[in-house]
Amino acid sequence: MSGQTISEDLRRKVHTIVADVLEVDAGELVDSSSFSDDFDADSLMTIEIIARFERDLGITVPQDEMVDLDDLSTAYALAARYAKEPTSA
Amino acid sequence: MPESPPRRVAVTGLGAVSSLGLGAGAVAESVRLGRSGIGPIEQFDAEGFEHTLAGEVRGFQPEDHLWRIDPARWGRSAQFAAAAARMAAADAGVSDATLAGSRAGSSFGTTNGESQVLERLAFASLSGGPQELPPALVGQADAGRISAAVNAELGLTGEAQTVATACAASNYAIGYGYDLVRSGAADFMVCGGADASNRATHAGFHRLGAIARDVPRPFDAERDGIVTAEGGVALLLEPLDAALARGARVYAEVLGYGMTCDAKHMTNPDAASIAACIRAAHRGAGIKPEDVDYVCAHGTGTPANDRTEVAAMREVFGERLPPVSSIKSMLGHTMGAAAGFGALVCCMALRTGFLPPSATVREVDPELGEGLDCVPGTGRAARPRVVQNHGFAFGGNNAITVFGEVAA
Amino acid sequence: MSAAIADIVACGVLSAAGSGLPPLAAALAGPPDREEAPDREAGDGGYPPLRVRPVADARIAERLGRKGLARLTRTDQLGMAATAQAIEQLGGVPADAADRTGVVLGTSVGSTGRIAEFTRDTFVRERPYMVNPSHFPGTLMNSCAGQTAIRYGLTGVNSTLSGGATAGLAAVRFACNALANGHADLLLTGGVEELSAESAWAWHRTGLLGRDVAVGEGGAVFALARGTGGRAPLARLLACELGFADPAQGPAAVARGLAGQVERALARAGLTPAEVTVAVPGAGGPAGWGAVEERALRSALGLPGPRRLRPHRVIGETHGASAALGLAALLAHWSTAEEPGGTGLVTALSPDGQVGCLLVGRAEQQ
Repeated sequence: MSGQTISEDLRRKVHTIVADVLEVDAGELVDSSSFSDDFDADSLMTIEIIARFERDLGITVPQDEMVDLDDLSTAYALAARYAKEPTSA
Repeated sequence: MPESPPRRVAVTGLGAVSSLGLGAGAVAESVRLGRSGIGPIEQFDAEGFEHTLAGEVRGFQPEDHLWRIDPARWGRSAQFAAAAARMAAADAGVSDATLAGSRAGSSFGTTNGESQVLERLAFASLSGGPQELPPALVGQADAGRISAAVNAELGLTGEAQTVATACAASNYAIGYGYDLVRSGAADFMVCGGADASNRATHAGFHRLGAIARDVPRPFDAERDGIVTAEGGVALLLEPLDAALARGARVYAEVLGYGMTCDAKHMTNPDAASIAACIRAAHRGAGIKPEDVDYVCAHGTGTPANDRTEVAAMREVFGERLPPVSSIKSMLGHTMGAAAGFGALVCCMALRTGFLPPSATVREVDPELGEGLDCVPGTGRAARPRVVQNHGFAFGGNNAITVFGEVAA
Repeated sequence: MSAAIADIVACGVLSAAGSGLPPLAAALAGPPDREEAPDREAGDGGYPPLRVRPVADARIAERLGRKGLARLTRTDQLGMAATAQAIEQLGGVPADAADRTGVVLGTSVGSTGRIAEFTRDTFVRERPYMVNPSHFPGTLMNSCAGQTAIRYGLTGVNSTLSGGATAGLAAVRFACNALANGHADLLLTGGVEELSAESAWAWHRTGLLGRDVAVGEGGAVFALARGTGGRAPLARLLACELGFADPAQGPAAVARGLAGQVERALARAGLTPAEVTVAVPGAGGPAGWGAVEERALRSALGLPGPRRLRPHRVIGETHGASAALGLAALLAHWSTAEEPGGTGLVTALSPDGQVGCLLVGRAEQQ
C-alpha cells in the first residue's frame, strides 16, 4: 500500500460513499472505524462499496482485492491505486 | 397428515432438459464422460459483461416434447418443467389416463421463476413505457405457472406446488412430494425444478464476483466461481409397492430428506447449519453417516461454498469422507433446477453403477484437507447403495435428499 | 369431527385497513368504500390510473428499525412486520425452540418493485453488471422468508411458495405437511404481496381487475402448530386442500375443480356444507373469476349458503397475499361477531389453474 497518494477530492468522495453504504453520519465514520465491528458491515456491503466506486467514480477494483476492506485507509488506498490517471479526453 | 402406515417411495421416471442433452440417459452419459455443457451465452445479449459463458439449453424445440400445452402461452421455465415432466411420465410408463385417474400432483422448485418473462417486461417498460406492457406477457409472469404447466401438460388434478427456495428449491420440492406419497396423500408426484438463463441472475452473480473466468472448477485450488446455467428436470415418485406390482423400472428409493435455515446471512453459507441439515437428512432417511457411499455436492465452485460444504461434511462424517463430487463442473449452476439434476444423477448412479465426476478439477484444493475424494476427471465405476444430494441457497435455505438402491 | 391439521396460535396482519386484526375487523364491518381514494392520474408517482390501497399505519420503521431498511424490499418489510406482530403475541420464540421454528411464505413473484429496478439497471447502466449487489438477494422470491429468519434467528424449516392467488394456501399446505411429518413444531406461515408501480401497471394492462376493485398490498402471517402448548388457539385449521383444474378446459371445469376441493375438505373434517357459517372467496378481484368461484361455492355449499365475506372490497386485490389476508379477514370477522362458534371456508383460485380452500374452525370463547 506504499506510495499511494490520494487527492483530497477523491478522499472526500470515498468517505461519502462508505458512509452512505454503511448508513452512518459522515462524522461517525473516522479513520479508526472498523466497518464490520463498528457498523455491522457484511460482505455484501463491502461489495456494494466497491460497486459504488465503479459506478460513481469510474474506479474498477478487482474482485479479489476487496477481501480486507474494513477501514477507511484501505478504502482510500484501493481507490487511489485503481483510479485512472486524469486524462484530457 | 399420515393416515396410514408410511409407504416406501420409489423414483420410477426421470426427465431432463439440459445443456448436456435431453432425457436422463443423455445427461448421465455426458456426466459419466465428464463432458461440459458450457458455452457462449445466447439467451440474452451478453455485451458488456466480462464473463460471457453459460450452461444453456441449445436448440430446444418445446413443441417436440409437449403434447398438450401450447408453448407460446408459457415462459421458458414452465416449458422446461413441463417437457421434463412429460419425459419422466413416459420414462415411467405411466399413461395420462392413469395419472388423470389418480391422486397425482406436482411440486417444482425454482430460483427466478419466469425470469425471461420478467426481463422482457422490464425491457418493454423501459423502451415503450409501462403503458406498453404486453398483457399476454404479464399473464405469463407468475412463478407458480411452472408447476401449473406440469399439471396442464400431464393432466394432473392434484396440487401444483411451486417452491421458490432458490438454489435448493428442487430438493424442497422432491422432499415435499416424498412426504405426500409416503403419507398416502398422493399416489404419484412429479417433482423437480426449472430455471431459465437470464440477464438479471447473471448480472447479480457477476457483481458479487462469483462468476468463473472460464468453467466452474468445484474443489479446485484455483476455483473462482460459478457459471450460470438453465434447465428443467423431473422425477416421478410413486409408492414402491405399487411400482413393483406394475413391473415398473425402479431407479431408486427416496429414503428421506432434511431441511434447515441458516438464519445468519442472505448470501454467505453456514457450515453449522449445513451440518445440521445433513444430520436431519440422515435422521429422516434412517441412516448413519457411514452408510453414505457418495455425496452429490452443492459444489458451486465458489471458494466459500466448497470450503463451507466440505467443513460441514467433516463435522458429520469425521475423518472418513465419502466420495463427493459436483456435477456443476459440467452443467454449470442451473439454479432452482440444480438439486433436481443432482437427484436425477444420483438415481442414475444407483441404477447403473457409477460415481459422477468433478470434471474440471485440476489440483484439489489442499486447504479442503486430507482425504477428499472428489472423483476428478471422468465418472468411476462403482456400486453406491446410499447417496445423498445437497442443495443450498441464498436466504439460508438448505435441503438434502437421500436416495437408496433398490435391489433388482 | 376429525382433529385439526394445525392450530393458529397467533396472527400478524398488515393491510390497507391498518395493522393488526381490529382495524381489519372495523373495515370489514363498515361500508365497502368508506375511504374513497381518488383515482390517480396516469403518471402520478409512476402509477397507472387505477385505485390503489397501500398498507396504512404499518409502523414498519418503528418495528424493524431504520438501519438497513432500504436494503429490504417492500415485500420483505411487509412480511417481517406481520411476522413481528405474530411473534410479539407469542411472547417471543425461546432460543431452545429456534431450530424447530420456521417461516413459510407465499408470494407471486416476490418483490415486483425490486425485480424491476434491478433488471432495469442491467439495461441502463454503463455495464450490465453495475447493479447494486446488496439488492440482489431481494430479487429472489425467498428473500422475505430468509430475512425474517435472520431477524428472529429461526433456523427451522424455511420455505417460500409461489402460486398467484393461491400462494397463501400453498404456504399453509406446505407448512401443515412439515408439521405433520415432524419437520418443525411451529411455523410462521402466510402470504405477502407488495404494491408497486410495476404491479399496478401489470393489472392495468391486463384489464383483469374488476371495475370497482383497487390494487392493494399486505401480508398476513399465522403461527401454526399442532397442539397449542397451553395457549388458547385463535382458530383451528380443519383442512387445507389444493388441486388443479386446467383453465384450458373452460371456466366450468375450474368451478368443478374448486367445488371438488371444498367437498374434499368438508369430508376430511367430517362436516356438512350446512355447517359452514362464513365463506371468504379469494377471487373477487379479477373480473370473471369471482363468478367462477361463486359457482363453485354454490355447487359445494348449496343455496343460499353461508354469508360471504369479501375482503378485497376494503383492502383491494392483493394477489399473492390474498388467500392469507382472506384467512386474516375471517379471524377479524370472528373477533367481533356476536354469535358463537362457526366454521369458515377460505377459497382461492388462480387463472393458472391452481384451486384450493382452507376450512377453519372458530375457537371456543375463553
